[in-house]
Amino acid sequence: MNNHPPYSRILPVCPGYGWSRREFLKSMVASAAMLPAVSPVLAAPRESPPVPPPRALSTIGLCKRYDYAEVRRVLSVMLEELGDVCALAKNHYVTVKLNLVNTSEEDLGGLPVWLTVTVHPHVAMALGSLLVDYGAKQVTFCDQLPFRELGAEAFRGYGYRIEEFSQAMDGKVRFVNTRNRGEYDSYALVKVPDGGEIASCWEVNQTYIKTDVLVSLGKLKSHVSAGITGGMKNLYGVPPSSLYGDDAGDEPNEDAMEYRSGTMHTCTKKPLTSVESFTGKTVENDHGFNVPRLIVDLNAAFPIQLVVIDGISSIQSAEGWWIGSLVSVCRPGVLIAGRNPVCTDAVATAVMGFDPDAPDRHPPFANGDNHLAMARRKGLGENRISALEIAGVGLEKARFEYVPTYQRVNPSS
Amino acid sequence: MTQETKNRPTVWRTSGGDNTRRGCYRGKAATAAQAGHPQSILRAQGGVRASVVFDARNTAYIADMAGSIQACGEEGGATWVTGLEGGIAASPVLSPDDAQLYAATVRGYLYALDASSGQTAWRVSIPSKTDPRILSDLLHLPRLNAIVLNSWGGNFYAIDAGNGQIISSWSAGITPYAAAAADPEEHVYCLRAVWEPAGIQFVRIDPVTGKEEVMHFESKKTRPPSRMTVAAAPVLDIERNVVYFITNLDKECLLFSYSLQSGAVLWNHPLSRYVQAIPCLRPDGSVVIADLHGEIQVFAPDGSRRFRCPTGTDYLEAGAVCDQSGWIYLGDPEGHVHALNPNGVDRVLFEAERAIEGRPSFDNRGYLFIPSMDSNIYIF
Repeated sequence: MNNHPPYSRILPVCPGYGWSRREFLKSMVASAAMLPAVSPVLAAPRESPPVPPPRALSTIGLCKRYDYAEVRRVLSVMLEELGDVCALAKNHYVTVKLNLVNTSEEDLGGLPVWLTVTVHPHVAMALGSLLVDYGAKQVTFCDQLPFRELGAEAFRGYGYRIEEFSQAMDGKVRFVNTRNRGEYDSYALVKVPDGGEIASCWEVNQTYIKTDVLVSLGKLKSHVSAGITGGMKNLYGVPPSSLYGDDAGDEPNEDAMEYRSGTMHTCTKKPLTSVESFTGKTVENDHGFNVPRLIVDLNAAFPIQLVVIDGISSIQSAEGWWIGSLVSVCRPGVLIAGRNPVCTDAVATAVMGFDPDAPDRHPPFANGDNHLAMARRKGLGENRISALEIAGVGLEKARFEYVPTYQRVNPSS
Repeated sequence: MTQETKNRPTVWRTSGGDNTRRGCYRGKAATAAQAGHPQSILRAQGGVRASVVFDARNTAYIADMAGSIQACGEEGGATWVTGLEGGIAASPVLSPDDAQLYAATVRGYLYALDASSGQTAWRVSIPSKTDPRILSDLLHLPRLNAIVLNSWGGNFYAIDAGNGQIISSWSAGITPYAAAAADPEEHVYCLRAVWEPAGIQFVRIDPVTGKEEVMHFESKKTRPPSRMTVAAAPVLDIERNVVYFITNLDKECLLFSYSLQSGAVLWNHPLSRYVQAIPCLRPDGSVVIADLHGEIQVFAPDGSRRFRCPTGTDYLEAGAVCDQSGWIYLGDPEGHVHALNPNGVDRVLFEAERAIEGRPSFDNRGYLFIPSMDSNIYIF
């Protein structure tokens, strides 16, 4: 059943979108002859491309608590500072990828997920309300969630109440659980420009494609494999469990809803996509190699046009309660936003007290490669803080030093 | 102990005032602590989670998350600033003669600094196959002349304060986060989470030999012992021969009162949310708990609840302190500085720009030093 609304322009915003399986396979045959044996990005020395990476303004606002009116006021000022968000939203369908996680039924020391691990519903509702005020036709909040329900009910455990959102957004809101193809009769096949580091294409729920604008609404957290989360890492939730999940089995499974460890962390399992979608250039069981590259591949395929990061209340040292006692709650009291995800995540990293251009396998990227630097080399955006413009309260006032993520194994030991 | 000695304010050379971690100032807080605005503000190089510690001349030593440590005299200016490798979350400790200051970092280094100059006397890295970070407040044992700490490498260490050599070590369990406390005989008390059998052990250690005695074991019921199970250090009430400790297990946590005389649990009390903050003891022996429900709860020595007071914030991360008159002081993650009178009536004295995630401390004059993540130390 395809009852999604008519989109103002069905033409894809994703550079690789618009491919049927047949077209994709044809293109792979054509481009294979032109590709070197090893990806130039992997093989090349670490130097910047001749063309400067894109840069965009980021902004930081202080906000201590999740009072809806206060969050909305601060975010409104921040989006005004970015200058062109109104035009981005006006008369457009907007998809907001939320940073939720693979269960809403856990807590951290009795604290609910929205104070620690996931985006607080008031931040999402404030953003949605502002986008509607700017003229968005509809805002779709989505993530893949481990629940059978594919609509708003799946989000309830994370504190998201459709009735409250509907009231705040004049009814122009919907929620989509993208753990499978959902209401669509097929998946979207999205090519990674230049072939990707690990993924040559992604096969995903069409919600991420049938939109005019893609927004990433992330959480300001440490991450064991990626160093930090934020806007870019948030896209890790896009590939559906039905094709990438540990419980999918040997065939695409529309009922699958579990974590994607085998395909996207340890890389010991191939995704069940309709075409060969991973290049094989992975290192089995090395999360620190695989995860940063897959983040870059996701961001190359699904360009984010606006990033908002919830850093009001969060956790440090790792990304979730499943890391156990190694995480602790913290209260940075900040919101961060920007138009380029690399730039905005670099600012977020600096707010956490780290160098966003730190060497691979050094804090905060203690267990892996620096995906921000990798994204710059890929031409996705600038990550060097000295080259970035920051509005709002500025970096010095916003800084809130996190305890870095823990080092899994000391290589010198 | 004579009455005069008992009532003399101690120099808070470590977080919580002394090795018992009790957080009770033996004097009355300076009037400004109840006046509603800071008397002055000290500026650090980064956010401050560690408690400020002092020497006998009231020099304040401030360690911050940017990795700087500085000494500030009574007049307020920094007499020296030294940069260390890694941010400092653990509260530092001063030797009893005020000669050396010890600080530990999230990169796993323990430093001994000349307290008068900030020069590094020695530095050691904590052995670890994984991550050696040190988050637990340091402890100094004067007779043994040792620093006690734990790291994420999984062990507690007693380290020679003179040269950095390891004297002894013992397991910190799977949650090496909570600091240790010690009695005047220099027995060390700590908590650790263990897998087999799963639960939390309350342990007494002889730091000379590392010999340990498990004094209490609390088994887990439904959840694995891997989730902030041990976060707060034990607190000793020497006068009553009692130790208070907290276990975060299952969906609730338990506050224990343990008699050192009989070697048995006197009582325990369930708390609705986990506790990460070190408790404090009021002069009447009542124990003050700041929990992740945003509440202050006070229990009498017999286990009866004196009062509970919601602070209006989502959760409380940092422990409280109190003065001789029973007033309780603490900060919250929204930056509020709370003062609770002996009956539990809460008053917000002040609001800092950013979160307060560190335990306050008193200097020798009774001035209250509140560390904040806005890089300021607010003095009341």
